[in-house]
Amino acid sequence: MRSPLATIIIKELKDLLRDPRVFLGIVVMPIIIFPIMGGAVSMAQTSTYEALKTVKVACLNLDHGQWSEELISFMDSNQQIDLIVLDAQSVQDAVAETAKLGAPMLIVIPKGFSENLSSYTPAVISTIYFVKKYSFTEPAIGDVVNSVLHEFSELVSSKLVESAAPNVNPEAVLAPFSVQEETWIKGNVVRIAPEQLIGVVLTQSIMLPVVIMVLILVAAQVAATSVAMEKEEKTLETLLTIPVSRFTILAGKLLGSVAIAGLGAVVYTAGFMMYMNAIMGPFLQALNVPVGITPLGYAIMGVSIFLTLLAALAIAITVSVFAEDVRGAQSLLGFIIILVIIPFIVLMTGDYEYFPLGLKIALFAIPFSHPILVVKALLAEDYLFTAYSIAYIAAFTVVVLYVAAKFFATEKIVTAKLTFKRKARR
Amino acid sequence: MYAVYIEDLRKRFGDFEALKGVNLRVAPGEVYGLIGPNGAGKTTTLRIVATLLIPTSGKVEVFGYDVVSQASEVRRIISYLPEEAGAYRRLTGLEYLRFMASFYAKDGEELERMVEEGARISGLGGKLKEKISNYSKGMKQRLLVARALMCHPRLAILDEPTGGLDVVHAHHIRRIIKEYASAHGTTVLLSSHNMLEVEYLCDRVGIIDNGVVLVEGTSEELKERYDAENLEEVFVKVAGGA
Ligand SMILES: Nc1ncnc2c1ncn2[C@@H]1O[C@H](COP(=O)(O)OP(=O)(O)OP(=O)(O)O)[C@@H](O)[C@H]1O
Ligand SMILES: [Mg+2]
Repeated sequence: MRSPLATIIIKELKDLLRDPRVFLGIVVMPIIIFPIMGGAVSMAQTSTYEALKTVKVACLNLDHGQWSEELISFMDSNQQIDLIVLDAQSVQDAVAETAKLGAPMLIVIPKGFSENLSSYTPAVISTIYFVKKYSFTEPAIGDVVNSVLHEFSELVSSKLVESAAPNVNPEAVLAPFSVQEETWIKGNVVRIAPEQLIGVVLTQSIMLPVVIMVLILVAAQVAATSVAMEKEEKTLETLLTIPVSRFTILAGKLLGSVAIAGLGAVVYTAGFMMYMNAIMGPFLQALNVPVGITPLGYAIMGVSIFLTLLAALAIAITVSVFAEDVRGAQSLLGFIIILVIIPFIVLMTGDYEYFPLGLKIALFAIPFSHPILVVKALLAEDYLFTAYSIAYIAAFTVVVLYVAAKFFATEKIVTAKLTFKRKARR
Repeated sequence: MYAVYIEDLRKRFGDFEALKGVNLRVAPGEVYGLIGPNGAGKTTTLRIVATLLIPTSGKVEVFGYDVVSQASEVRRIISYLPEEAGAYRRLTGLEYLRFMASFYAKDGEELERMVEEGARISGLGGKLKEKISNYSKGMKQRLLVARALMCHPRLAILDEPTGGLDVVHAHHIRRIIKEYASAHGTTVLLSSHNMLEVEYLCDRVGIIDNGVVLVEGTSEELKERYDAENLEEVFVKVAGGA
């Protein structure tokens, strides 16, 4: 014969996995979400790339001198730029014409441009953007044109240096020295700018909390709904009169939800790793330095997430016992959701080391902050912090479980109801 | 020894006293019906006997076991059907019976016997292989009553077992309770709003109102004592005074 605990857990799994909402949240969601996220990022990249393949640029030449002709042919020879030289006589007319052409940019070469350059007097070229779509590709078009103009300006410089001082290397005058950026990380010095490196690690440490948060919310939702369903259908009342200890009933419900959450964790983590690999893999491999979280780190993170989940589930189960039905449980769960989301947002947007003490204490007291804090600590290789953090969540979970068990042993589990209605009858 | 022994039972919810000194005795093998108006305290009494609620004061015993200090002994010999109960919708009827039976059966063989008996009592046949979410209210209630009886309790506590059912389903449920109780000598404590049902099913009847049992006896005794044609008249004379 199976033990009563196993019987309850198995029933719980059967019941939950047949719930389409659970199935959607735990299995289908990650399978859909991560490819969509990956697809969206790469699609955004390709679309920008496509948009920049050929950029239509209008040009008004008010100079007609040697240098402006040279600039026009320089731009014309550039593959990325589709140059249209306008016949207009004034900037006003040129703007109207450019707008009609649908070109995103107009370059105005002023009168006296060539004369100025030849006489070593700085000249000004104006570029006019036509912002229409407010998309990321619009400024990128500007970058393309600017870099072509910059190239031309360097060309002019070196020609001017050549004619002024024929026996000097123009390179040495234009850029007497250059800067080679390197970054020290984990005992290795790598040839890469710090922004780029931090960008990679940040993506990791931003995406991970998102995944953890979604998982905690889905699991809490599942557990709360399952308990509330038992209350609504009076199956809980029935369970409480069978010859099985109350603690076994609580443990069965909890472990059933934990198993589902564990399944979710596996699916979400796999999806997340696939996503990270697709986006960051080539870059990290080329870098050839252990950036981000180590295998030990992942193990610590797993423990932290598991304990937090356990705490969340214990709270969700206890709280939903107070509710009369599923809807009541959902609204009570709203408070937990806030407790999950607030630390998430705060930790996402700020560096908690610089927070005021009160906010810091509040953040550390909320158990749901800890998986995120642990991820940050792991990136910083602060293992002492992760030990404290895990001890705290463990203690918190034990307390919640103790309270839940005490509560399950009283009659409150039958009579407790937090309704926002007036008292019924008499 | 009584199957159910209740003496001066009081129950308060906050400052509201739902039971104000209930006295009630049910002999082993007896089918006892508790009737009374809405809010009289029937469910509260049954929940206390079923170890769900703790009495504020008074004594409640089931076959000599105290429902508070010996709750786990009591739970081993009772089965309880809550008022307006449901079942796990995503399980099939058969899965539900097996789930509940596994808490009472000592081995696999007994488990199979219980499930088989539950299936037979329910009379649901092939429908037992369907998910409970497909069941009508009547079918669900038949399943739940079968569940309560299949595990051979010494005391079955049934809160309005036919409440809200159509005539056919209600009739089926009454019949199985009566047959099962007489075949196994099971004690049944039930509540009801249906006087015909109580007259048909119950050996003895208690009329409860406002948290006290007003009168007790067989329906014959009560009809004679109140000079009434039927139990309904007795009920109105005893509890309808307000
Ligand atoms: N958990 C509770 N908290 C507060 N009051 C309660 C609670 N449970 C029951 N009561 C009150 O106790 C009284 C008796 O309720 P009970 O459910 O026992 O009545 P009943 O006889 O079963 O009625 P019905 O025929 O409607 O089922 C009612 O006035 C009810 O409002
Ligand atoms: Mg009732």
